[in-house]
Amino acid sequence: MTHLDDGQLRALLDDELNDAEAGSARVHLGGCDECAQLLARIEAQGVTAREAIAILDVPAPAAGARQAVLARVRGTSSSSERPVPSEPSEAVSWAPFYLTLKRAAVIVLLLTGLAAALPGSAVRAWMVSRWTVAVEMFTGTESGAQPAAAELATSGQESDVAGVEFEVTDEPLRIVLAQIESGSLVVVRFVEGTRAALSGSDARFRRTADGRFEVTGGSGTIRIDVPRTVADASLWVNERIYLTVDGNRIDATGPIEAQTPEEISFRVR
Amino acid sequence: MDFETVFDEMYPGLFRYCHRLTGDADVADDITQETFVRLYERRVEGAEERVRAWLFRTAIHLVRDRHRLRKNRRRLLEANPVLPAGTELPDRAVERGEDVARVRVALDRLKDRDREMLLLRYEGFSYREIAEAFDVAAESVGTLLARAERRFTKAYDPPGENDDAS
Repeated sequence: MTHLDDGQLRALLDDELNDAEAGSARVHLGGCDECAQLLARIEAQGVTAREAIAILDVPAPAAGARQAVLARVRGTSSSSERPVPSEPSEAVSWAPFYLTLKRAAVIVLLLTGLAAALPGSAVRAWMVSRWTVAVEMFTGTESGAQPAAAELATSGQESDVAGVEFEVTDEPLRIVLAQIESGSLVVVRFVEGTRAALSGSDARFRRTADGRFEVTGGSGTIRIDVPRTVADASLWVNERIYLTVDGNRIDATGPIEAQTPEEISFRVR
Repeated sequence: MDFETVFDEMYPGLFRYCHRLTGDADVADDITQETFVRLYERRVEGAEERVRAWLFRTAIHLVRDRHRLRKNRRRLLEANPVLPAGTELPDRAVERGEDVARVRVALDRLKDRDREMLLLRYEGFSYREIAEAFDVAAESVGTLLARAERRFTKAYDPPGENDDAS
């Protein structure tokens, strides 16, 4: 007598045998206690495993995820990559999203960048002034000074400003971004020298401990400059690790938007 | 079916699958979102079954990519939990419960492929679909699933229960 094996019995339970195979298996099971016991054991193991694994389940964050995914696919729409489907069908098809809006955004960004790059332009002057004010408020130093870490704001001091920069003397370096709006862009740039910088609109900056800096409530683009010399650092965004630096190893675990050898961008979800 | 309909219908199952694989709701959400974005970017079209299979296969690859980062992430989380001042710890009591820990340990005992296969089956994939996803013979799927369940229950159940010849 040829006994049934685990795979055949599992397939029988899963209704994955064809009619002939299933019929033959049932005939065998009717006269073979050994296989019948094995079938019962496999069935019990299956029930145990299914029930146990279901314990892991948590509610899916569908609403937020839906918004985030739609925002991302709309932002990545491209007429050259995504031609309009020629005809609707029951198959999955995609419509082009918001190309006009995207083009407008690109034009605005280009104009802003151009204005900021022009010496003597009002935009450039405003950006420089905001940065300088930020450094002063954060560090308590005079404009133009290059404060060391020890001269930075004391714990808890806050400033509603555009950016700060500081000397990195304490490691590990922890940069914690909290209450960052979904859709914001976090750009981490690895720079020469020993000075780090944080900047972003509508954000508050503060140092909460040696080597630990918080950015709260930012939106749009938040820029972080990290010196290449830093060997132990991590970036947290809304309670999640986005980036760790461990010696020469850099692990980007956040939702990467773009990456180059000098810069990693994350899109906050 | 348009993209949003696909998302609405398939997101919960894909998220559940990723969460069961990774044990981390945030990572599962990330991977699920990334999978749908890729679906859109790559214009994967066809029957619902085909799209669903593509989504799960892609998610499996993304989970594998993240797997190597998990140890480092866990080490950091355990060694230095960082939360913004004034933020309360999230309520993840269920996930941290004893039962959850036992399930995770038992799942981690499985080979990656066995775990991925078993969870795919629990998402309702047929043997044929599983065989295609992992490039194995459909006839071997039952054996692989039975083996995975046996190992899982052996690790999960208290000693003395569900002992078998394996």
